[in-house]
Amino acid sequence: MSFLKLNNLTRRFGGLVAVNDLSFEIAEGKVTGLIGPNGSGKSTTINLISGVLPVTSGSVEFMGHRITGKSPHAISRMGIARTYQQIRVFESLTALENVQVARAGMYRSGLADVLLNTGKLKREESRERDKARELLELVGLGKKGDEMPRNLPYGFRRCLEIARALALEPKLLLLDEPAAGMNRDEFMAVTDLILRLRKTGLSVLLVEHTMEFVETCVDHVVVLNFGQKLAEGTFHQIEQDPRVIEAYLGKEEL
Amino acid sequence: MLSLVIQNAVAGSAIGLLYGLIGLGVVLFFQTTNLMNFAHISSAMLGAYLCYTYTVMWKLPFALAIVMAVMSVALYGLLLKRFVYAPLAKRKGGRLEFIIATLMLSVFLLNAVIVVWGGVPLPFQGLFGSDRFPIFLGNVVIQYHSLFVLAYITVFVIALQYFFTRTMTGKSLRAVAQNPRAARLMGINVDRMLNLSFMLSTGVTALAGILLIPVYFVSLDLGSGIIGVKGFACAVMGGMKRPYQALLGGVLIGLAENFVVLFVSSTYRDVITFLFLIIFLVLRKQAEA
Amino acid sequence: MERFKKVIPLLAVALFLVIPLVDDNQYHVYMLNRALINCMVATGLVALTGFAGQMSLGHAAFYGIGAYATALLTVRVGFPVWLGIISAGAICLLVGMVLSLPSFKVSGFYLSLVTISFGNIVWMLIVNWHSLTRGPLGFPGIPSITLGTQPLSRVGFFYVSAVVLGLMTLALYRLSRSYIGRGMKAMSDDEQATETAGIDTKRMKVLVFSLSALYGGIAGGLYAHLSNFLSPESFVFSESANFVAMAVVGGLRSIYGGVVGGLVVTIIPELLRVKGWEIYYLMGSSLAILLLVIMLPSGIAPAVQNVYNRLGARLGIGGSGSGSNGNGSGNGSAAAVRGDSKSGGR
Repeated sequence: MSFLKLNNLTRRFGGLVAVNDLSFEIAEGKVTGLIGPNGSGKSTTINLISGVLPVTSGSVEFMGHRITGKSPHAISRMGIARTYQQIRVFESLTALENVQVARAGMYRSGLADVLLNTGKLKREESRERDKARELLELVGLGKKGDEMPRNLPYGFRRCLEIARALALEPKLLLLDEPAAGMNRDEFMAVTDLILRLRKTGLSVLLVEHTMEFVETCVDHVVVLNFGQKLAEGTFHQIEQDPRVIEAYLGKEEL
Repeated sequence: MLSLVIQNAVAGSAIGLLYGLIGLGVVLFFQTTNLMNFAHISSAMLGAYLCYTYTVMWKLPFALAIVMAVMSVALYGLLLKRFVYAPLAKRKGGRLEFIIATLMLSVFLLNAVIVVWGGVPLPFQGLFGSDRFPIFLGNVVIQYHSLFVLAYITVFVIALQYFFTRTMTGKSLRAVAQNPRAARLMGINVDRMLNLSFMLSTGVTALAGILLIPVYFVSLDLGSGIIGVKGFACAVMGGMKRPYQALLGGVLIGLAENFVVLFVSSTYRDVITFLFLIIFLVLRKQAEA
Repeated sequence: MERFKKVIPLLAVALFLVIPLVDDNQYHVYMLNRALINCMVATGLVALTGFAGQMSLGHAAFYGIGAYATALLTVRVGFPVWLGIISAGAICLLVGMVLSLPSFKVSGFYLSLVTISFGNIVWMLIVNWHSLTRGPLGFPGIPSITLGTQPLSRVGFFYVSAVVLGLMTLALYRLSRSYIGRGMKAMSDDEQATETAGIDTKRMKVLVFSLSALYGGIAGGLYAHLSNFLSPESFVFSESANFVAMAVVGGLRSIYGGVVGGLVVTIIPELLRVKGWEIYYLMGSSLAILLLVIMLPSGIAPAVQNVYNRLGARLGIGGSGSGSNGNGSGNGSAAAVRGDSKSGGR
């Protein structure tokens, strides 16, 4: 049984084939990088796995279960969490509340408990609040719990989004360009965070343009071009692959 | 039976074109602002009442009265932008706030009309041949009103098409509708175009209101939610961005209504229309996703 | 000092609750009752639109269904009044569930068109279904609420409604502080991100639509037994718009928005009902509400809270503001500018 397996995944937008008959597997406990030129279908692949976009054909299997066609929240609860290319935090909630939102699945209290404000609910609320604080601490936002996201610097917003994803206690974390648009300090902070997560044994699939980032964080690389798999291997194998070099031709490595 | 069908098809298309004209006004507004004006239908009511005042009370020739009524309502469109849209935009009011503000505006205008003209429908005889004997083609009865509507709308569409494709202002307006940022970079005065679209949208709707007089009289019904929602429905059927498809959507709604009355029930005509609208709205989104 | 801060709102509520004991003008008490009923519908809309981000311009339909349901059940079936009102609420809850279905597919303007259509359909059914509603003739002879064997006075009705509204507000307060309320607010910010945070947004929509329909239905039920007579024009589209206006004027995102807005929007026209000015009062009141929306798009309740907090801070009263809206001061906002463009590219 493989951890995550894509079987002939295809997605069309009108006449455009964004992902074309794509198949690959990722291994548990590893950080896998998904790279490729602009428009090669990396983000679309993430969207298909997380269920945000319906597939045109093909399927995704996660730990032996077919997850294609399930709604995004069901996929999230099965243990696949994600972040977005353009950061999408909840702007009207505090940082702490942002993380708490994703803990909703951990509650045993129902609507009646909420309306009657039972002890059970209070216990769970305080337990989950502590858990959320812990997660903020983990991503380096320990003191920012009461801030509104709009008052946080860009890098912190990204970390907040990662904390929210981690609140689902995922088995697999999908990161769509986690280091995009960051300054040097922010970049180092995110790299460090992902390395720490890798140490805990969390499996990660990430899309990234920054080669330095891929080199330091990633165990295994899958290269896409025009929605198809072009090559696969360790970073150093990929780096020397003539097909990959050709696909990136003219593109300066960052 | 066949003659009844033809008769209803003609009458349905005519009234549908008028719904469509209202929808076209909605599209012209949405194109540039990305907002829906829930006081939109009030423009139709204002147009009809002003036209009544200019003709019956001031005794102006009818053609002049139409032009003056449309112009007056377009001027009101400017006020709408200046005193409702602009202040709300400045305070970062969202779409919902704009909806509520314009809804309140429509209540205000309705009550203002009651104060100025009274609440009773005003008869406006002889408009668009409504008092003339209808035309008989074999068994088919065709109202003069339908022909007038067809003629007015044809002229109007030609003029609009000319404006959008041949004049600099029309082209700029389309550019703003498609991409305001790019239009601004190209040196188009976006704010002026916004003014223009407020005027066009309200003016077009006023014209529709005047042409609807033979059906609804000069009455508060013209400012009611029911016709307004049908106008929105046309705009939605036109994808909110395509003016002429809104006209087509109007024709479809008009035809559907007339045939529901013919074959099903006149009491529940609007119930069925609204049911169709709900189903359409839900399915439309599905098709897009 | 922190306690002092809590005393003033309680004092305001207490003062309000004393009004019917001091003012024995029956019409005033009747209008206060109407205001409380409106507050209930508006509170439901605060939950639906303000917290969960779902627009409804058809809430007069729930108000109407609730009113006619209890009227029919008490007059024709012989239910006791309290059971009639509860049934009205339950029926609306079910209808609300059904109305939540379109919201799975449409949102924003399109949802508002769906709800307008729904409202119009219900209204036209009320007008045309004569055997059930007597249509435009109106539905007479609805019993009043009784206390033991005595019919409840208007003052008594005031306190019953105040308790019901209090319970509704408390329920909304608890909901908003819980994981469910956080999920709702998240959904109104970004539906897709809420889904990928593991929340079933469809269930959330069913819940919030049925809750606000329940509020509308109970309000409608109370209205039927307050006025003892129903006619279709109480349930037209403009009433739906009025309910939403209440929620907006009060403050969509504030728990007390519905209460504040319901009172203000019901009382404004009454204040303008000056002798010799009758024909202008509706015009004046709609203009007043229009101005309120334009000047204070986020509503009265948050504005009052702001002023109150600022006054408190100036007087040195507990500046911590622990439970308030948490309008974090603008430190670090310059750095955040880069990150605030959010558009769902793929």
